[in-house]
Amino acid sequence: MSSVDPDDRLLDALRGGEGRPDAGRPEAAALDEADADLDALGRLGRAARALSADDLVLDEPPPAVWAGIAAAVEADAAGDASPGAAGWVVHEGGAAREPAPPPSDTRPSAATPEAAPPPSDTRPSAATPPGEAGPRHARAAPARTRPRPAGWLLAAVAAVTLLVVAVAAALITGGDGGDVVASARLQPLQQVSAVTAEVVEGGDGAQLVVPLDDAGLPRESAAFYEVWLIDSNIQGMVSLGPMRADGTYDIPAGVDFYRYPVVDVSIEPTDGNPTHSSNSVLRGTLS
Amino acid sequence: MVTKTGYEADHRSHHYGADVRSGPDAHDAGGDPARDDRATADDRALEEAFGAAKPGSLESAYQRYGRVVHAFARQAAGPDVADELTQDVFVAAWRSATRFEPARGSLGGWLMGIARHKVTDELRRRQRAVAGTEKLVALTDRNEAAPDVDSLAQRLLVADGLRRLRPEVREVVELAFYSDLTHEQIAQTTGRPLGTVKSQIRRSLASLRRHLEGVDVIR
Repeated sequence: MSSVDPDDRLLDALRGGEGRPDAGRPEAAALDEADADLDALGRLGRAARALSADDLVLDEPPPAVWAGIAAAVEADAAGDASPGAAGWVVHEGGAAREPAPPPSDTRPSAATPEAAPPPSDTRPSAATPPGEAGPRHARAAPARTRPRPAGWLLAAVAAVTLLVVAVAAALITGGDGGDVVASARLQPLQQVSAVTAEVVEGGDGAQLVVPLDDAGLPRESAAFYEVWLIDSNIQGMVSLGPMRADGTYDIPAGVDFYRYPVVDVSIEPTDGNPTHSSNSVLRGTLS
Repeated sequence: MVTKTGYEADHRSHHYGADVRSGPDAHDAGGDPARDDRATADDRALEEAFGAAKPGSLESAYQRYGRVVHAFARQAAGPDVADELTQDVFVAAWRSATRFEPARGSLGGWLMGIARHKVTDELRRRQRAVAGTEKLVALTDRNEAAPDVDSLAQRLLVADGLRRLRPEVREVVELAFYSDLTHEQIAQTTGRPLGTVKSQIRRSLASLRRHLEGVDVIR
């Protein structure tokens, strides 16, 4: 070991100095680890020194934020997508999944059996320090909430605003192949990469553009990939057809993608069955 | 805990029974950091609960980190979308709660990692809209967040970590960050034993580093 006090070395690293005579270090492995440590400390020190007054201002988010989270999670639980089931990452634009008929409690706790036993174990309320940003309103909120209350409405309004901005921008700047009127980040439901899908409207109708080449889809024998638009209830759906090399899919005239905002990519076995296989690899909600 | 300067003090004072520690760090050398520092213990308990998707832990996580995530979204992407992004972050986090691994960093850092992705996506989308780019911008490396977004996330996490420290520890740690004082000088300045100062710095830095490590796990 080096003769330098490790605590002093730590201070040096924090403050951006070197402070370590490498000669004293015995093994390469130990050295690497020490280097990584010093790097991390340097980063920490830089972040601390870069702190500005703005960074210290933490306002409490409006009540609607928690309400929206609770509602979305409740919708998940009602729809049997419990935590950890992953996959269903809803993007800007609203709940991807309408909850099944009777919405239960707002909390993840009481919603479904798999969402867990009665709320006895953890200490949600007790864990919240009095002075901390507790969304007290959430606790005060009625035990039953509507499937899409304030928060998601707010999100939807924001999404529409964005959409309007996007459309306006596209109209102003013009375009060579049509205007993007909506987009969705398709999140992986399996071991593939997320991609972004966009709806482009031009003279010859609307098209969905999905660069599936970028998704790293595994090559399937005896199966192909198919692109779908699905409604928010995950019931009605429209096939846009098998995966195409140009990544462009015509949206049939009369199909309103606002009604079918969920873009889904599935693996379809070549079994002649035209319905969705229920085996999806990517999914996202247009907004 | 007798100090009530700011809300930091309140973090520690209300559970796990009576405060058995009076005096400044009577027994810290070699002590268990988690046991020594209630704020840390609270955070760890929350992480464990969250990672197991225990009921109520999402709300606790929101109460603990909602303001930091919201501040990040607001500063990085603007007040108009901060609410929506904050919702997205927590909903996405809960959906993959069981993938959170405390061993790889703090929950706060992990949430900020998710937030960074959401913010980056939002900024890209906005950029596309503004540029009127119709076709897909090549999303070659979506992990490459703008540097100022990264640095903002790190700063907010450090600020959060500092806020969690007991005032007397925070004083010592701030001297470590912002002064050129040696341990001995910090000990003299604060009137605390050298060993106490050293272990407080060591421990606090470890916990702050862990906070920053979480943010990179999602890369």
